[in-house]
Amino acid sequence: MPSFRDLTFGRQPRRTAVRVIVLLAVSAAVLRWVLIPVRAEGISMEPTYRSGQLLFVNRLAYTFSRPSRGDIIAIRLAGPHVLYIKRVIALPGERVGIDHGAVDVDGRPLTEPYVVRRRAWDIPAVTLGSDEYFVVGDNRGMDAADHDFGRVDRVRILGRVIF
Amino acid sequence: MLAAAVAVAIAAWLRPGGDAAAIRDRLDGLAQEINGGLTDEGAALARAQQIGDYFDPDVTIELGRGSAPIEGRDRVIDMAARLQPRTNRFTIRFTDVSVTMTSPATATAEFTAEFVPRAGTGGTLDAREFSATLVRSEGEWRIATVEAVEALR
Repeated sequence: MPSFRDLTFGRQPRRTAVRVIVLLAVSAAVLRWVLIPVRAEGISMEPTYRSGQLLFVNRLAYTFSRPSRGDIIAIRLAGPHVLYIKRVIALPGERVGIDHGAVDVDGRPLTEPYVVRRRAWDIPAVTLGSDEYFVVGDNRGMDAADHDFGRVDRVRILGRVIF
Repeated sequence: MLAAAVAVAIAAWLRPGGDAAAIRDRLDGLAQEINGGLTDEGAALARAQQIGDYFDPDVTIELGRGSAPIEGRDRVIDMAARLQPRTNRFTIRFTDVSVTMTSPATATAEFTAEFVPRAGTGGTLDAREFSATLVRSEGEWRIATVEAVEALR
């Protein structure tokens, strides 16, 4: 019958220790540079995400591609420790505005099944630059004045929220 | 040998960065001063004076979003004293502080200011990015300009 020590550390404790160290190092590297855990704060992404919910941001999501309409993205402020979580509703070069709560992109209404409540926001149309995206939260039931949204430069997009 | 090399590399990485570290400490000190909690009128004025010491006499603060610029240390002290009941509803902390030395006596700092509601105030966390310039005068780093940076426009 194997001893307690064998069950805990294996028959080769030194090899087990190396495995544990490698596992911890890989986990730390992934959580630092690839899959960043973030906690949602505030109500601007409700009902998709609730305040206090734990999310993960894939920093490699846009290494070989560009953000798409409908993606939920993380936007950095001065650094990666405080982020905005928003949804992309318009892409570079497009003209976007909000009229009585309805989003209009290049003259066509945008279908947004993720928006449950909608106030009559009126945001004048803007044409996005070649590296600009228009982002907004899913909670349109709040006052526009209390909601951070607008044009964001591609360089500020840290990655895609995956779950 | 390898362990020694790793230890030396880690020590070099963790070593305080001279002026940049002093500027970070200065910003932390400002945050601690602001977070000191509500006091009576006399103490509020004394604290406002201490907050003012972190700023250059000719400081300009531009908060954006239609706010009028705040100009001069005296104005900062006046506002710090008057607004203490409001600022006491939250604590402030500076994160992601990035310092660039532009000369031996001037530097720029970019950082995120997080406004964290105190328990029971019912507020929500807010965060804003700022860019500041600092000047060294009388041996201390003081804030000469502050400008809000709009991540979303």
